[in-house]
Amino acid sequence: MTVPALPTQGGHRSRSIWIDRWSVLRRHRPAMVSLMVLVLMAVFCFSASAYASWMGLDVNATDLMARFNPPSETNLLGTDEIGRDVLLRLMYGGQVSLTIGVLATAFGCAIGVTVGVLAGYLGGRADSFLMRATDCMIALPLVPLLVILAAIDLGKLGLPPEIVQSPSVSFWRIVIIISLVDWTTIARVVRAGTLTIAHQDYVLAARVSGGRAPYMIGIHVLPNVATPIIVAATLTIGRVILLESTLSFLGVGVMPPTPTWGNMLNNAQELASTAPMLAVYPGLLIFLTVITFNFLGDGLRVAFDPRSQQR
Amino acid sequence: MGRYSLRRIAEAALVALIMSFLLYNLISLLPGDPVDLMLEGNPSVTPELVAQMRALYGDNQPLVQRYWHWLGNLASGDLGYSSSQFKPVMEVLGPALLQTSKLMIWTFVISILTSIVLGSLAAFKPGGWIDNVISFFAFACVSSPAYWVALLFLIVFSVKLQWFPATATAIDPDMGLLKQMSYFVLPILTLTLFSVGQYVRYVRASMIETLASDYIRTARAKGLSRITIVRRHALRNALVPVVTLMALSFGSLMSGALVVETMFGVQGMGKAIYDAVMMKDFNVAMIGMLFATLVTLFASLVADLAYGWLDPRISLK
Amino acid sequence: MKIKTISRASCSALMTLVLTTAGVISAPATAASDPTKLVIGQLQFVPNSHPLIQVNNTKLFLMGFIQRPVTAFDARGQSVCLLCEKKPSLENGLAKIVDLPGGKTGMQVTLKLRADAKWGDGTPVSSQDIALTWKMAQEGALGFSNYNAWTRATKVDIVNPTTAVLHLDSVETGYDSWDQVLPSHIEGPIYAKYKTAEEYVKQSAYNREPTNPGLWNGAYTLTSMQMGAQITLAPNKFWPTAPQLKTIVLSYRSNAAALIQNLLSGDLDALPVSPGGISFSQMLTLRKQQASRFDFPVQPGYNLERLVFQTQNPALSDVRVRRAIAHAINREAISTQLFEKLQPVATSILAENSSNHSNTVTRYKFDPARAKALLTEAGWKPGSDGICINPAGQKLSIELVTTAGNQTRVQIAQVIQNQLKSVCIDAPVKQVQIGVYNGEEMRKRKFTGMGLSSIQFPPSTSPEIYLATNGIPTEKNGFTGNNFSGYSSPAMDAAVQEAERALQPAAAKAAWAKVQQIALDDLPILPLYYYASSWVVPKGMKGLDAPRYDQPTNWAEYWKRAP
Repeated sequence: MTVPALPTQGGHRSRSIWIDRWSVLRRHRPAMVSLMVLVLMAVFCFSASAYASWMGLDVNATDLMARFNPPSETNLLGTDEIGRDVLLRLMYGGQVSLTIGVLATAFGCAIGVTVGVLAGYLGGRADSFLMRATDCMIALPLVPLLVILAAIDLGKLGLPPEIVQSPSVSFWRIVIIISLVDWTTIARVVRAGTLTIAHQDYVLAARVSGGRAPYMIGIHVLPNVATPIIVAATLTIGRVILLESTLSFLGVGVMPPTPTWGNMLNNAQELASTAPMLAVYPGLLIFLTVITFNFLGDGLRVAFDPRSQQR
Repeated sequence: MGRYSLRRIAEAALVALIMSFLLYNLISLLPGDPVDLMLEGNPSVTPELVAQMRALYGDNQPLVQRYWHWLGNLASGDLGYSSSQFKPVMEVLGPALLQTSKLMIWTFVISILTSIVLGSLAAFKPGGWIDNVISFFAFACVSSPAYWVALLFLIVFSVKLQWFPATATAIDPDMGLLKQMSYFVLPILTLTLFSVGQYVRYVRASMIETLASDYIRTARAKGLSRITIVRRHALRNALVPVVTLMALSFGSLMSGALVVETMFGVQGMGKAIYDAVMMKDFNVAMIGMLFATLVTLFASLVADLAYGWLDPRISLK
Repeated sequence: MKIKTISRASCSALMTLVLTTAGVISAPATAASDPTKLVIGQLQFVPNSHPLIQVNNTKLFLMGFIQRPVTAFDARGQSVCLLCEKKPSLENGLAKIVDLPGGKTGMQVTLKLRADAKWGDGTPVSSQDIALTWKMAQEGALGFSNYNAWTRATKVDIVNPTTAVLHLDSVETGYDSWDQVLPSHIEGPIYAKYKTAEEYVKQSAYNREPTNPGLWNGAYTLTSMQMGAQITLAPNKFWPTAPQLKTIVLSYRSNAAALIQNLLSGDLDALPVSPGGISFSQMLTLRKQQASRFDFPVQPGYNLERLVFQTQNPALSDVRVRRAIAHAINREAISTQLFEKLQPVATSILAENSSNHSNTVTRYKFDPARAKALLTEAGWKPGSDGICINPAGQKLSIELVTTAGNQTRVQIAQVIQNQLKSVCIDAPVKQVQIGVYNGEEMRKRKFTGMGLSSIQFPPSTSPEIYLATNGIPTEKNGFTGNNFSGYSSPAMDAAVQEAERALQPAAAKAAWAKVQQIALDDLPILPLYYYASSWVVPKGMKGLDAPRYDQPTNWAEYWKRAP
């Protein structure tokens, strides 16, 4: 039986809630500025290879005769301690740092959502156990745990030598270990949301009429926890980028020669008196990226919160 | 409430046990061992010596057996022996805990006071210029890499201005108290900045919500000044959700801020755990990590109980 | 009420804090340095204070102050007596070659201790100490890992309280190099009771009370040891020459940048330069910027930075490929640009100031054309992307692995990668943590292509461990031996044997010349540059300006600072 379309009332167009939220976000100045900055940053970083071919530079080309050059026509920000172009390295480094941020957050979200939904939906003993496990995860000291995870010998884990010796293993290792420790906020948020939804009448009604669990979760629970997840994820990306740079500082992050902002900063620590700008640039970019993610997350939180005072 | 606490404690203990087994496994997967350290560059080591050393360090027993042995010792109160420093674990972690506490108590106190003041100031006029400055400051503190800030402080205050000494390891027990404290100023400052950044936003949000409630409006209508309102009425209620956050952070302080301790040479828990991990010193690493975990779990239980007690609207299942 | 008191209290607390900080700031900045004190920065803390267990260069640096070995190598590369009166040699009869039953030859070495060598509590150092140390090493359970093993002697005879005769069962060049002894009046009773390694290690006075002066026989004794942080030393009352510096502090930092910051802020007085300290490039920068505050003695050193080739790699097993790599790397440019030529290109495996250094070995000049020619000869032709391929279509890709955390090595690795690319060799660079490098990559020989790190040929040990077939670490021998490339050549084995047996300087020089020639022809390792021995010291300080195989701290009583 088809449902007849309801006539719209007097000229007022129906607005989807997303358009509503977007207009609130637009008014939150810091968030909009941050969004623009982030988009520019992403464009900046991912146009690295285009920039390289345009300027005729190679990110790995070392030139011992051109160490610590001041900014020039070809090297807009000068060269580093073995003659590589600084600007290009910052761009490639940004690619890696941002990718790690997004990937680790995505995986972390996957874990957090699973744990949260299971806890909220199943309730009882399972919920209790999962929440204690989450508490324990939160209680474990973060940085020492990451150091341990980053330092383990993959060969002893049983992985085949081709994987252990491959150059991209340190990248994936960082993504995986950060996602393994940073899912707890999302889990809690998702659980809270699931608990609220799962006990609503319409959901109980759907269960009674035979709705299976994955369907319930997919159709009812997830869309309703989507907004807190988005906010938490945005804030997590900033945290992940900071974590990656801390791990590089401790020497267990992504190994050079792959550039990341974190290991460029670590490198530059030793050159603080020779070439201080080499330390300023990556630090500044990390700071800028993280603070924009934080502002954006804050703006999203305000936009999604129906009780927010700033509407 | 008693049953609730007992249940929480039991569950936490169980999960901690499982975590400890996982940790033990992880540490055993770390590369290198004291024997490799010995072999490094030493030309006269014979195969027999190597075999002997491996037997000494117990590498030849299966993992589960070693874990069980360790757990058994722990249950009977024996914390074990540090294989990297040849001392009982307590003698290694005890002084480290003391150093971390010195740092953390001060950081905790200062950052709570500062964030209460700043958060309340910001909450008076949300959107006003004071609020914007304080909020931006809070965001900035949370977004900066800790070691970068530490490096900046070192370069500016220790090297260029020479106001403060650079590293806490150089403390001589014969120095005067003031001089000893001067070694801690920079690390405390660095840690405080980060904590303040975190707390201020929560205090501000909580205070805004409280200040908008009816009874506060009544007090304003009665003509009370803002400071009086905050001190007498709003603070208590606004701080309730913040208590949870602060209790949790206190727990995490016990693991020491590894990066700050490394930069400023404080021989604290974070550094002790890190060194133990790098040297594959099972006993120290396990005890250190477990201690920090248990303290945080306990603190979060206390925080939840306190929350439930302070806010009569919350009931604990 | 409560809130009031709390806020009052917090206000006063804040005020107190502000005043204290103001007081602290106005306190005088770091006082002018005390010329009788020296604070030395260090990177790696010693695991314990036992002289013979877990020995490495960091430990030996500390031991040089407080626990002198019987003999050590001085600035001229000669073995001299520190605790003995006269160095045993064949000429003065204190060392003899004897025939042993069964047709073998051995040696007898007489060690006569100085009459004025005393432990920090006044007890003289005696032949009992030698006998006890030998016994503890011989019984094998404790894992002594000092460089000149006491176990080379099969028997020790005590002739009188200051003289002992050691019996060796083979003829070897290190007969006149002997390490530290343990105090029999303290460690003797402990060892008698606790014979297993685990128990001894816990009960040894070196771990329970390291500040006991009776444990130390050097120019200084250990007065305080804060694990991981700081070690303080004071002069040993009983050492014949009173040191000029009355207090020495070894202060530990976690990385080189911290060392430099502390140096500049006045918390540290002196810093070692790599290995074990700040990098050479950092020293050069400091030299330009801080010449008024510090001196920077630089002398040729003994360490060699080299590329080790994995001979099991099919491409590298062909000596022409190895020689091509030698010609492809511009070592001169590295030495000039990175080190201002102060760390010169290595022509041979022995350092230039080593007495056995040979000047006549094959030289490999920077010659990319020659490199390409050699590669073509070996069957590698440039492919479409510039990387060579062999007739089977495989790419010439050789991985280069090195230690993470060492900026200079990282830079050099990348420079090498670039230079090899221009002669069509693809060399992906891999960095691993130092534990993994030393353990998995090198010792277990898992590296697939080339490794970049440093080695040294101490004069008292045989080149066997680096170059001979039985120096290859395998599962069978418990992975001992440092011949990581797996190089095996009968000619080299024979030359090594000859060098081991050559006790006379002229014979030694000739034998070593042969070893070096074969090494440079076969290239199991490619020498890159010689490390310089360098320090950052306060202006006007004397004593740290000569390179030695053994630690300069063995002569610390002659150090002095400008007043």
